[in-house]
Formats: sequence, C-alpha cells, structure tokens
Amino acid sequence: MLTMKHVSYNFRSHWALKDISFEVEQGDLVLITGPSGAGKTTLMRILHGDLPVQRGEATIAGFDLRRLTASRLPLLRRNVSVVFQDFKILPHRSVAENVALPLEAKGMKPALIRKRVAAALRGLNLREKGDLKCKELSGGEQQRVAVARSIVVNPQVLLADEPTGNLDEDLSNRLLEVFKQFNLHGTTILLATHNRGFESHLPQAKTLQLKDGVLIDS
Amino acid sequence: MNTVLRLFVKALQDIAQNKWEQMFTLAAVTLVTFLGALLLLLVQNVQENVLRNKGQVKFEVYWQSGVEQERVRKQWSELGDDPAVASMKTFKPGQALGVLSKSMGEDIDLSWIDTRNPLPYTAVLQYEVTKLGENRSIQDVYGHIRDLPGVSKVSFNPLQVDMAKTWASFSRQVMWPFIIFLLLLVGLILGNTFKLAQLNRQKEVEILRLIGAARWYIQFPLLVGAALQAVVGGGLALILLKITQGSLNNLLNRPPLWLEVNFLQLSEVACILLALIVTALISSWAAIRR
Repeated sequence: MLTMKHVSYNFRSHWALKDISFEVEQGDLVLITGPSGAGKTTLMRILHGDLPVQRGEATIAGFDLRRLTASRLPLLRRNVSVVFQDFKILPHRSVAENVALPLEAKGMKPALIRKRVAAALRGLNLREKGDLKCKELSGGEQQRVAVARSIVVNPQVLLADEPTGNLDEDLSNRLLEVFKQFNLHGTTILLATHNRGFESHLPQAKTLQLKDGVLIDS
Repeated sequence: MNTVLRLFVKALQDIAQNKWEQMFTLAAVTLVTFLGALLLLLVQNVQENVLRNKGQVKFEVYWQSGVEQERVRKQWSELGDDPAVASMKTFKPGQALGVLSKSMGEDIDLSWIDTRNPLPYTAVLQYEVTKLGENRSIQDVYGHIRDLPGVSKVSFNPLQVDMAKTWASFSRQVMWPFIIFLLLLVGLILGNTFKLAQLNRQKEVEILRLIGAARWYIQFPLLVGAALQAVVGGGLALILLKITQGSLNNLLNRPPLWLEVNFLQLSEVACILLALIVTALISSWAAIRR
C-alpha cells in the first residue's frame, strides 16, 4: 500500500528527512512519532503530494509520487485523505456542507452525497449538528467534522498529522477510538504525533520513530 | 453539462455566502469603473467641443449669376454627402436677398429687386479637419469646390486651417495617449481589486485542493463569480455615468456655454464591459492559478 525507499528532503540546506525507508501494508495502523521538528509533517506532506520527492522513491495507494503530475494530484488526494491539526474546515459552511465537499468535487450525484454524508455524520455522532455552521462547534466537534470529511470518500489511506494537537485528553482518546474503528474496517491509517502515550491506546499499531529526520525504529 | 450547471449555481451560492466581501468588491469595481468611464466621457466631450469650435474650416462658396438651379442643387447634394462636412447652409438668390435685407435693418425693404436679383446661389460649408482622411487636405477640398462647374468664388481663412490642424494634432498626440494611460491605470486598479478579492478566498481554495478537487472545479466558480461582479459592477457604473451625463448636459448645454455633453457610443459601452470581464478573469485566474 505504501513504500518509501531512501527518501530524503531538503529545506534550503536543512535536511528535514534523511534516507527514510519503510513499508506499510494494506490495513495497517501506523504511528509516526517524534518530537517537534523530527520530520513528521514533511513526511505526511510528501505522502499527500504537497511536497515533491526530491530523492528516493515513494509510492502510495498505487501512485508513484516521483511521477505525480498536477493533473493526477486530485486523484491521489481522493484516495489518500488527510486530517490536519488545525482542522482545515470552512467555518462559514455547515457541517454537512463541509463533509460533502470531497464528494461534490468527485462529481457524485446529490442523492448519493446526502446518503454518504448522513452515514459519516452518524459514525462520528454529528447527525444532529449537520445544519450548524462549523464556527458554532467546539474544537473537538470541528476535528470530528474534519475526520468525517476525510472518511466520507472511503479512502485507501488516511493520513492524520497531529489530529489531537488541539484537543484535550478526553477528546483525544475518543478520536483515537474513531481511528481504531476505521482501521478495523480496513482503512490504512498513518497517524503522526509527538505523544508517545498513543502507543498504549493503539496496541495494534506499528510505530515508526523519527528524530532529526532519521528513522530510529521501524 | 450537469456539473457545469452545478458549478455555476455554486458560484452564485459563493457570492451569497460571502455577502459583505462581495459587496465591497462590487462597490470598488463600480466606483473605479465609473471614474474611468467618466474621465473618458469628459475627455471625449472636451475633444469634440474643441474640435467643433477650433478644428473646423469654413468655406463660403458663390456660384455664377444665371447658373441652372438644378445643377446647383445637384452640387449641393454632392457636397453635403461628404463625411467631412460638419454643417452646410445653402441660400438661393431669394433667400440670400432676405438675409441681406434683414442684416440691413427692418426699415429696409429690398423686395423691389426680386425680379432683378443680382445675388448668386451661395453655400457656407464647415469641414472637420480630422475627418478629411489621410489622402485629402484642405487645399484639396478648396480645389475641388473651386473647380465645380458654375462656381464663381470660394473663400476661406487660411489661419483657420492652421488652427484646425494644430488642434487635430494636439488631439492625436496628447489627448488620446492621455486617455489610454488613464484607462491602463483604471485597468491596473481593477485588476488588483479582483486579485485581492480572490486572495481572500485562498483558504477555501487550499482546502478544496487538499480534498482532491480538480483545478477546473476550484477555478470555474471563482472565475464565474468574478465575471458576474464585472458585469454587475460595470452595469451599475454605466447607469451612474448616464445619470451624471444627463446632469452635466442639463447644466452646461445652455446659454452662454452651449456645451453639449454626449454619452458614450454603444461600441464604447460594449468595450468597457468586455474589458471589465477580461480584466476580472485574468486577474482572478492569476490569483488562484497556483
């Protein structure tokens, strides 16, 4: 499902990633841990097509990231969803509208969109909040909206970059439970976090430890 | 086709959702377009009035006594068809006598010489120098009129010719470059306005990119929105301009000024709207292309 071979990335003479190699099988749940500045976000951005592969090889969900063209990038992102620490939702739109966005972008029919959105909201206990504007929600609810939007397209891979960064412990644990459930349904998940305590909440997860751009454990 | 229609509807929904931002952008587009069009209107009307007063040459044409009326009528018709003729007044001998009689005062009655009227057929022609074309000069016009069969004398003021040529040259070398410069300035301001409006939606564009929306899916509604703003803003500006033109004409087209203020021609109105739409599309695309 995901392969990285000798991937390095340089930000103006600073190496954010150095010779990273690992493989992830379909259905795996992977924790990418490390302190701030370890390279976790850079890794996620490469996997999401936001940064190019400068050195090495990387494939994800059947896409060779070295040969990714601008026209193929949207296709990659429909198969590889991302959840961000800062949610990245549209605050002036409703919960349902935000969750429906990727389905509309795919050109799905309105009736099917409504059905899929309803299912996603139900799965994340947001059914009653469908018509509320996102700016009216709490941080935890907004993050759930972001998660709902990322899973409504049934992605092959879900990338989550510090998804619990802005949440308290209780909400964080609840969100981890959600990720666990998705993983049990077959979605491959990579979760980047600086919180090593997650390992105890996700015992089935494989752990990749990054430090100063280098993979310490794989 | 369905997707295109849905995206068009999305463009309208986006406008409704960002009401205040759209209103401010619309206000800016309307006012800047109005100012630019007003400047164009004023400069054009100043030029027209100046050229009407200074850019014309008057010819007084006298026919020989006893010339056939039908021949003179034909010649008058031919002269009047010239596109460079701004105005033409003709006088039959009887009419000329009447004008002469009036000019001598109400006490003088010249009707007794009606049957032996010595006055010739006369015409007063005003030529606009700028409309002569590149291959014709005032001298050519003079020569043509003088050579007409039956014409006895043609007089004009050579100083007037020089003045008309100078004003025409001034118009070409100063006025129009000034207009073009102003319009470029207006175009730059409008372009930046549209660009800034789109930059405010960068967050939305970024999120759409991240969820896998195709480039055209993201750009189409934004460009449609910008084009709509251009059309609406341009329309409002032209309505404002029409009101202003009407007010200025009422104010200035009366004694002692008698300055006509005409509205823009239809082709100019169409060009303004087209230029607005093109500016909106190009500057919006420049803002969101990455």
